[in-house]
Amino acid sequence: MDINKQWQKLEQANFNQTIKKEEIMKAIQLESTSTIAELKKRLGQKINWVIFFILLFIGVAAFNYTNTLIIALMGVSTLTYLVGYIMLKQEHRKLVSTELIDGTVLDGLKSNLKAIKSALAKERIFGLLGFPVMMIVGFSFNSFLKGSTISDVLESQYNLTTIIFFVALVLFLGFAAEKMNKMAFGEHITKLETQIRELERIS
Amino acid sequence: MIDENEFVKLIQENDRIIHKVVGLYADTKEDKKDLYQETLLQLWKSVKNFRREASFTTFMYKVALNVALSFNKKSKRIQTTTLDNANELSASISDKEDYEILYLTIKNLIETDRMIITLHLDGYKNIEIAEITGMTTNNVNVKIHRIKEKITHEFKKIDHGYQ
Repeated sequence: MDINKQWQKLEQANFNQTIKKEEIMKAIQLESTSTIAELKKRLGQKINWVIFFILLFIGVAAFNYTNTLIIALMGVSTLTYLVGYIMLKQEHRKLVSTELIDGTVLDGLKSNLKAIKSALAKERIFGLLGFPVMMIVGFSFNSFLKGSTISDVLESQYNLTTIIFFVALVLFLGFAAEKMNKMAFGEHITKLETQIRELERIS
Repeated sequence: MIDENEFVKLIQENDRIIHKVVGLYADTKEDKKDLYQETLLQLWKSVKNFRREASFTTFMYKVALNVALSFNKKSKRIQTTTLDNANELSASISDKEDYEILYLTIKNLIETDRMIITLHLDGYKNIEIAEITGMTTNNVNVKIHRIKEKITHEFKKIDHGYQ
């Protein structure tokens, strides 16, 4: 059998349709369904939440400008969230540039994999930093407003139990998020890794 | 810079590439539609990276293959990596032409092999395939040889299954 001849027949029979202009125009106006686009959207939503919390912390600090403890707490929270914002924004930018395909197929697959792994790692780091800050602020804010100090808050049995509960909750949420990410992206990451290995393998 | 009209014209002139890649990498109607739209969208987004001194078909292939290899299928494909059981296949391929069997055989190759053989059969030189895929030319040479051997072997097996 002549493979080249059969390929030509196959081309004539299977790949000989014409794409209409309307189809092209419709497709280029759609939203991307790629993993990168999905991650970009997710990071975009997280960035909006981070901005919301930064504004909230600044607002609370402004309304309690006479309370040094509140100012300090909001200051630390704002700084933590600012670091998170910069981290997520950089990642978002990287994903935008990864969307544009340049270079070889192997380069494309590698940058795709790198971008996905990096975005998930940054999300994880921010989760570990951001959630505790958010919870501590939410939890101790009321006590501070009533004039309690940090040691007052920590000495109470009720407060300690609540803190332990929150720590357990953060750990559980972290574990659940990890599982969800594995379900959503695990197979895709494995697929990309296999293809990269295949292309790089020295015969 | 390529404008919308020029882009449409270039796509229509070379739309075979998209049909080929979509046909070889997606199985269900839904996946084909998604991959087809995603390929067009990524081509449009990436066209700003296209340098006119290069061929548009090569650029199209790069983008289409990149999208296909990173594509998340909605349907899980029934994996049949080798055509081991000729009898099992005989029912479905007994009335098929040689080119249709070739199509099925290529579709059953692993995705990276599918890419290399498609480019080879489309007339790309090994050095060009290396430039598109990112593999070394030596690696491409060896791979093509092995894939062709595999295809011929599968054909013989199917032929033998009938006799």
